Amino acid sequence: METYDVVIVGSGFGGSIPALRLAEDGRKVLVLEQGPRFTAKDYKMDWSFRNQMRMFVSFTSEDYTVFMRYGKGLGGGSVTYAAAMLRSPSEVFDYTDQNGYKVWPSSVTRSVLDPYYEKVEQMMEIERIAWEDVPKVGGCFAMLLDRMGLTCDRAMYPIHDCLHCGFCMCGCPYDRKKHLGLNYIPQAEELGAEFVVNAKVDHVEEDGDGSNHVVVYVDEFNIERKVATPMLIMAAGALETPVILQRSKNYLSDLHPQVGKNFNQNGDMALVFQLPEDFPDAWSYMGRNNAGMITYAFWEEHKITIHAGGSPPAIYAALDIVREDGGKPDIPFGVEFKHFLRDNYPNRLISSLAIGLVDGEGEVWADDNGLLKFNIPQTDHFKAYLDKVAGVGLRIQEETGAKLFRTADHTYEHGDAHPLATCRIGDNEEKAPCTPNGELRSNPGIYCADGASVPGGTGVNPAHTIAANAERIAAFLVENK
Amino acid sequence: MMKHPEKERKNMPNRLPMSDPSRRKFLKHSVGFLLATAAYGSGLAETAKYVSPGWSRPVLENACLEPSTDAEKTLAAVVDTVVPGPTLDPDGDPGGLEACSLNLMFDEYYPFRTMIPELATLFDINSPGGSFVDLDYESRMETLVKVQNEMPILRLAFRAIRSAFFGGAYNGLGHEYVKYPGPNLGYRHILEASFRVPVCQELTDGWMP
Repeated sequence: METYDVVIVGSGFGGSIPALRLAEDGRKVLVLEQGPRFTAKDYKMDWSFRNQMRMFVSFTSEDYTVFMRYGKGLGGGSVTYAAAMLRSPSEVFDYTDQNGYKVWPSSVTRSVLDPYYEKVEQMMEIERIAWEDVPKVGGCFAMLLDRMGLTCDRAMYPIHDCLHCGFCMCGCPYDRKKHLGLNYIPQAEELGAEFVVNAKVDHVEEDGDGSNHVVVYVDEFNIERKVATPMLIMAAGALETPVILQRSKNYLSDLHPQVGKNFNQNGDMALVFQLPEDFPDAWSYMGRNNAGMITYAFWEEHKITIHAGGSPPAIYAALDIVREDGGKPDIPFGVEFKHFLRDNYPNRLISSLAIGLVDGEGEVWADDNGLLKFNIPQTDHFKAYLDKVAGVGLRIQEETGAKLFRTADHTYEHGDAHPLATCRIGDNEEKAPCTPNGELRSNPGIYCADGASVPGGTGVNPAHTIAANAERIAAFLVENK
Repeated sequence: MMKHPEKERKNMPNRLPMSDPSRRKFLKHSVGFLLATAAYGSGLAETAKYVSPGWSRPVLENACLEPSTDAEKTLAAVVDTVVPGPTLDPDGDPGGLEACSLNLMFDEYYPFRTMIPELATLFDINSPGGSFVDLDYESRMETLVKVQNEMPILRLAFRAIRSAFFGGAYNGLGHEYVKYPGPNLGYRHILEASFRVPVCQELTDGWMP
């Protein structure tokens, strides 16, 4: 069995960033990625669910109320992300849950993360979008806020010379969107790191004397393989990382009981608006999928941000939009719904995503067959959060003349793309499976460096904070051999 | 319609600089523009080579499936109710069946494909008279709303049916219906993608402190 200094499971931000930093340190690094190696010519400009299933792994919660997915392929979620790379506001790191527990470790603050954010910004070539590049749908969203006398800010992206084709989340076919396959991964490979694709990790074992962990995976030819390492970094994302660890429970001497708990969907909640009649057309399918503008105007009062989203028609097929005030359409199918989309797409409807701070009360687990299951219970706390976001949406409706739409049955669509905190870092040994530096308390030598380790909501799109946290953990691993 | 935001909001700070360019600047910018246009055009040609397989409109590889069994006929009626076709849409426009949504039943990517008989039975037993196919449009809608409320998972089945039409899974009829042009080589050349000017006040330099 081959032995590596470091084995990393997953090649998203939590995997590729440590891979580069540890390879720079001269370590022998192996990264196992369950998806294929995509290049620009593999990306299809196709929003049909068939192509989405090709690019993403998708799951529905056990009560069918939440839909989650993660990107598969070398580079993980960076391949199909909408690429908003925003630093989390300082208050995020002070968030205390309803039980009085401060979810971020006291040693990790915004100022501590800032130098790591900067590293990521340099590597990913992140810059603020120019007004000339803000898609019209983002401009219309900003005009709504402006009508309320509120601010709306241009966001930050690793996107350059955008052609506005509107397919970021299918994988940018022009490579104008920077993803890990264009920076961290090739640099790590140059330094000798090995990236094995189509390698699905089944479980992790301990070797005889406990000095190494053995990673058992199935390769592209469906052959079971094993590699050993004294340092295992789990970076399969907040959905898969805890499930792989739980599948490993019988092979490990111990596993922290909080692995898979505290699942946080980042407070995501979709809001759809029909533009006021005096607004210009939105051309909502044009431009980057994260449509250039984010408002922090509700942050101080509600700890909520909202950003505009571009919208291929498939979005409105996937959201059960019905009028908030009982108007038509009140059922998300049938003749009225069909005619409504015909008459309002693409110019009169805009989608947006609210993100905010809420406790992680969900859970991810492996069922008896080792398959991923999850749930996000509709607790009073969570419902209060959804009501708070809906209240902001209603305020926008009342003060602008836009019409707000519910986006799911009886509520608003929440979930989708930003799972976090299922193996969270933290100061409390009982509540946090990982130490502030990412090491699993129950399993020395195993680290979590992905979205699973980010302990709570990030207040904005989480990719940048996941990446900066991975840089921070990697720096710790380099410094503490 | 609202006036162009640039004209309406010209008194706001941080406008695009609108100073009159000198002749030299004008020439410099013109040459730059021509060079950029040429480079952009060659870039498009280059990218078109390798994206062409992906950006062509979805091709109908197989004809739309015709329902043969009773279960398939029931589901065809469900599809035709969720996205009504010419017989139910007063405007006579194509719907889910014309977009081949029934092909979902045999699509390897469709998670409900193994549950066809059970789904059909579910719709029939909840239909007045025991046959969904025989219901008129209003009764079908009432039945679908009822079963969806009782079984939230069906929301996902209906989404998939809508997605097959509006998302263009099998052909482009749904895209054409909502006037979505689909795959493209970028919109910058028609300068339609952005208002290109500030439209609001900003609070930060990009992110909160």
